[in-house]
Amino acid sequence: MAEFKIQGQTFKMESSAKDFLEKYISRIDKYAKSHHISDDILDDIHQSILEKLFEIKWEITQKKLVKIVNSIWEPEDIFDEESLWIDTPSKKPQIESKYRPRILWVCAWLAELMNIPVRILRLIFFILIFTYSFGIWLYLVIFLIRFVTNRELASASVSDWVKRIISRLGDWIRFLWKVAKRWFVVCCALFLMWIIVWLWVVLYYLITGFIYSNIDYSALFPAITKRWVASGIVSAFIFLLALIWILFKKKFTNNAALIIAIWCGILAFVIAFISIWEIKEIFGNYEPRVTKETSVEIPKTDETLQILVENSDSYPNFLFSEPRFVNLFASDDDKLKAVYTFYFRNWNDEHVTKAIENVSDLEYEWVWDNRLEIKLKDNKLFSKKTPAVPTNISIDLYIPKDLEIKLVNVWYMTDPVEAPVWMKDLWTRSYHTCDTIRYNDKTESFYCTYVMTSNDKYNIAQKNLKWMADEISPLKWLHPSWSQSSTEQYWVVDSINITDDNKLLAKISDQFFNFFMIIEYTIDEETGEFTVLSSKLKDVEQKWLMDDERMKNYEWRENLLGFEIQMKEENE
Amino acid sequence: MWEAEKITTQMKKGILEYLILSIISKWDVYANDIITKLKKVNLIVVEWTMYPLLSRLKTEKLLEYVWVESVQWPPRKYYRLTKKWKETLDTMDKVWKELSDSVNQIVR
Repeated sequence: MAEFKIQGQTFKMESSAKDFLEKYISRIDKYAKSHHISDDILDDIHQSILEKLFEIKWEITQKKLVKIVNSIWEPEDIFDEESLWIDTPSKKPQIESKYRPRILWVCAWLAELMNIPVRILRLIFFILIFTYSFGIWLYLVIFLIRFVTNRELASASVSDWVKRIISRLGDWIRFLWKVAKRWFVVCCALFLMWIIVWLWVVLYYLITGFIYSNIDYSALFPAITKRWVASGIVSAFIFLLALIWILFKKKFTNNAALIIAIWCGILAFVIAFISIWEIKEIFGNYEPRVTKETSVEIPKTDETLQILVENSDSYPNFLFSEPRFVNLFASDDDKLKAVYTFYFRNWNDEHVTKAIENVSDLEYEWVWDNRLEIKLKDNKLFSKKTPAVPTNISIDLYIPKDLEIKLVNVWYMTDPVEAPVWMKDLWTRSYHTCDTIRYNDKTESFYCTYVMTSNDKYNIAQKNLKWMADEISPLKWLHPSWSQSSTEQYWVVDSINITDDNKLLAKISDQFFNFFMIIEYTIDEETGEFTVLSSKLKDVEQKWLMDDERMKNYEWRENLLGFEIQMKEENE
Repeated sequence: MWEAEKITTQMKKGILEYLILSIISKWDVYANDIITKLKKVNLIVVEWTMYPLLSRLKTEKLLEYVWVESVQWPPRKYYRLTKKWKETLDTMDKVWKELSDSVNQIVR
């Protein structure tokens, strides 16, 4: 774009338009000077040209200037008084287009009709030459069209129709160019978003691949670039469709273009996210695995069979020692079967093959009469020479139905065996597995044969008595909101001592007394429900001297009859 | 045909100054206003060629102009009659009336 100044006003226009106008005004000025035309008249002519430029100031093209000049005429005609009444410019010579045509005038002709810079058209045709010479054929076809229309070989209506189509095409091109210029920033932002998403996807898999296992990068990048290219193409296609719709509808607002650009950006992101999910599925589903199994004859015994699966101490790489899930299956067979499945995540077939070769067969060993150890023979799996390591090991044990087993070193089970409710309350580990497991035909599931020990009873009693202290205590404190332990109970169970299966001795205290209570109780071994059958005060230990005033804070004082309570003298 | 056109042009030229001065006498106008007014009465005058005429009238101190600024348009020259021609315009009106009556009598 170039700037042109006239009468103190500045206009922006195409460079070719500026050249054209400068030359025209120069001709007028020279003629005026040579013919001694007064400055006033010249000033008026310039003023008139200025007004014409003002009418087209938003888009001054050479074509529009040619029209203006053709309406103004050349200087010889301007200053000829004979021309005063001649209102039809056609009687005066028309100023030819200044497009400097080349070759067959095709680009110049199109540029004049479309009102777009001729160099753009020449560039387009040049590029089209490399599309299997399509540009050359198109050039020749347009030349023929121009030849026919200019020589009036076709009817006027056809010629007009052709010129109208070409002119409309020019309007669309200028429209698109205006859109592109205006929303160039948005388009750049869209492109930037795609780049960011693509980089994110790449980095995500580079990092996760590094953490989990070796990744075959040669397979990774094509998958990612396919998705990126696909997302870009789909989004651009939809953007193009939207623009074509706008062009045909001829309804365009700046907001519409912005909204379309934003939706295309969102679509690009959505497609990118979907592609990430798909790639994740690919990664997740692609799990080379190897399975090894062995069967063990189980001798008839009443003792619990202890099973020790592959010891984690043998794994040098701690990252792959923990996730070892054991699955129990009931078997009608007399033999115990162990199936080890090693899962790998690696896209390189060569690596996986080598790793699989290092997975040796299973072997078992009877450590004691009732202790069975199952492991890999000559474990090479985690040696440094192995390029791929398993990300997960699954151990399936097929247990004869009438066998009671104890899993020695198993911490995780895919389906944890049902444990008594009270065990879940007592144990903090979420994946606690019972030591002793047996199969239940009726429920068709494995269950825990855990027997409640005195220690378990102690824990259950302690846990329940904590919340029953106020009820059991021989004295009732009148102000239950005042609690030493910040709970709803005033009295605190300091300690308990289980004397036999159904009795325990509990020490219940506040700041003044320690009460020793004999409590008879029951505990349901299935549910762990704790029930107090009776409680009796056995002994009282006084911690502070009491007086009448303090005693008034208690109820059930009659329960202390027979126990010596030291009272303070009044006014002491 | 060409001769008729020439005569017509000469006839139009003769009254153009009177018409322009009459238009300007009513209100301040710029060049395009004059063209538009003449067009309305089917007298087509080319704008560019009117400037020398206006310049001559200005030189003879029959017209004067003022620059009027505008937000929408560049500054424009608005023409108005000087006191000298305001006084004699009435005389020209009478002359025109007499002339047109005479012509009409002959032409009928």
